[in-house]
Amino acid sequence: MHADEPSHPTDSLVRGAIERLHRGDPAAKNDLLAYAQQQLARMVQKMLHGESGFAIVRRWEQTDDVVQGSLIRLSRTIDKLPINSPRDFFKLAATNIRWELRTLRDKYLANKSPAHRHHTDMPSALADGQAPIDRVLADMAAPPDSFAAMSGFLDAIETLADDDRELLDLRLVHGLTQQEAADHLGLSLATFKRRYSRASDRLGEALGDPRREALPRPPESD
Amino acid sequence: MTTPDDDLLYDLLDRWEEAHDRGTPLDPAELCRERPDLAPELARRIRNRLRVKPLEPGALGGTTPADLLNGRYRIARRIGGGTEGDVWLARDTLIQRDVAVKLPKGDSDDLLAEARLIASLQHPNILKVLDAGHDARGTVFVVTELMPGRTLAERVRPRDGGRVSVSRAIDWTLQIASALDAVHDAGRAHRDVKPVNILLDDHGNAVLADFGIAIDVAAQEPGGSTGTPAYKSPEQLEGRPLDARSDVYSLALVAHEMLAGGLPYTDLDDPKRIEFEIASGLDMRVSKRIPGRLRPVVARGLALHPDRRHASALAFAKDLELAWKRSTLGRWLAVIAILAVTGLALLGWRAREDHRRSERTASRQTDEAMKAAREAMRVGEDSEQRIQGILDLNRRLIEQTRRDARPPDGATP
Repeated sequence: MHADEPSHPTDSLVRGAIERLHRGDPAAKNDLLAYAQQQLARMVQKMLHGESGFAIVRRWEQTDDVVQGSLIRLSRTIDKLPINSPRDFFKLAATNIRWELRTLRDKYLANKSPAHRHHTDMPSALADGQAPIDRVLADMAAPPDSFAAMSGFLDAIETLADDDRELLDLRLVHGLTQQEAADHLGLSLATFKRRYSRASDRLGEALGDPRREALPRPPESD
Repeated sequence: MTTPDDDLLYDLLDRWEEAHDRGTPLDPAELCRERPDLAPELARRIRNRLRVKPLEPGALGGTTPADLLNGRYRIARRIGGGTEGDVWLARDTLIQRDVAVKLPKGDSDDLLAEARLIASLQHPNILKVLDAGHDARGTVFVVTELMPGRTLAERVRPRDGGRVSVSRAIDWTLQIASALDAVHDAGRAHRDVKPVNILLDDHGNAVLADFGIAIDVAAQEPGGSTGTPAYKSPEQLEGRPLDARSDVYSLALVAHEMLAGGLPYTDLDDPKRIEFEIASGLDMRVSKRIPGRLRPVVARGLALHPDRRHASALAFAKDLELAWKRSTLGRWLAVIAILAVTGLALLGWRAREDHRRSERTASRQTDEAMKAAREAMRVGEDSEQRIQGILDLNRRLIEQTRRDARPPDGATP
């Protein structure tokens, strides 16, 4: 299968939107942003959602608000960079999503500094005009287990080669199945599996690097 | 660039991962039995794989944890996989309770047919279907109750001790047999009875799940061989028409695993050998770790020919229960007999001891009597001497008095 052939619903949706974008349809960019919004929302949810309960799920609507703001940056990038295929868009969206997640993580860690923890205990802090991201983060009593895992992933994947990162992004950021990812790249399933296994092995190695075991240091807060 | 060893390692990693995802983990050392030199590298790759797996979406076909299925079920994380699809932990946001959501790996129609079958059965030992619907892509999903405990597969793992107590094993066999009878009464055969499809709650209840390859016995077509190799009946293995007795066979294998702590195969990692041993008849291979009276029952359940097996799953389970009760009764009778013999022996010993004690008492009394008698005799001897002395004294006094009273010679009174 050729890489440019539509292969799965997401690919078709993105391909159609890119073609409309090239024809000057103003709604096309919104479709692409809507897709990116869904993926980013899923990743934020994954990062903030603990294994043991549903505490963060209840705040999903708030998390969704957080995602909206970050899409403005992606919108500007789409305007500036040439996007000729779904592959271009997936790479761009994944980069954007990971960047937003790192920002979210760093804000969370800053929020957990002693100066901010005082405010998290006060319900009034939730309605005093803070940005949505701050309200969501202030509402979290402790980071879920998945936070550390996602945080490690965000740093580790940056150490890998571009080819590995593209393969891993398709699965771990865009949430494609192996078959969908193989179709997207125009590879056979067996070839994709083998390449993904290698990339996954290198990511696992980077995740196990003792220099990455600990969470990043929180930025200094005022 | 890859080397033959590199390819082999990735093949081994794939095998390990497939087993891991099925919930039946393989030992890396076992996987590398023919190439032990590769074991450390395979272990390293498995370790790395395990670091990345929690980040993967699973085979969810595009449905993501962010999705709210039917505007109601919030998907959280993958908790297992069945024949026809993956199972996800989810939150029913309407009723505010946790549920399990199954999403298909392949054909949605199969999943829906499975849900309809389960919903029609209504049995306390069959997993309950709560709801079904379509996700945003039109894919069917099925909502079932969430069993908070473990699967039987986890319970019988060697590292958890393998065997379960006989009474517990029989209890679970009875429960699953009852569920299977309900399936069979509906004209179906489950075809995938195995520990990983038996869920256990915290109250000792066993629940049968995953009806993904259940068939209508009256409408089956010959050929094909689905199911897990190690739990297949001979007729299932050969793709012959099957009925309830095929499930009886698989249930007997599950009972064997619970009672013996393992399946009656020589090598679980060798599918060809497993098939050979099934075709040769497992009834001759029943483990001696199973209590003696139960072995013939399990062997009958594993009979090569369906006609020689129990006619129903419940008949098998009740036969197993009866054998255990008889075995238990026999053990109690043996204990009573041992107690009776011990009691009698104690009584005999006690009587002999009493007799000996009486003899000792009598002897002591005799000794004391003899001593008393001897004392009495000694006292008697003394008294006699004293009396004799007194008598002698009296006699001398009388003679003295007579002499004093006799007038001198020539005098007349």
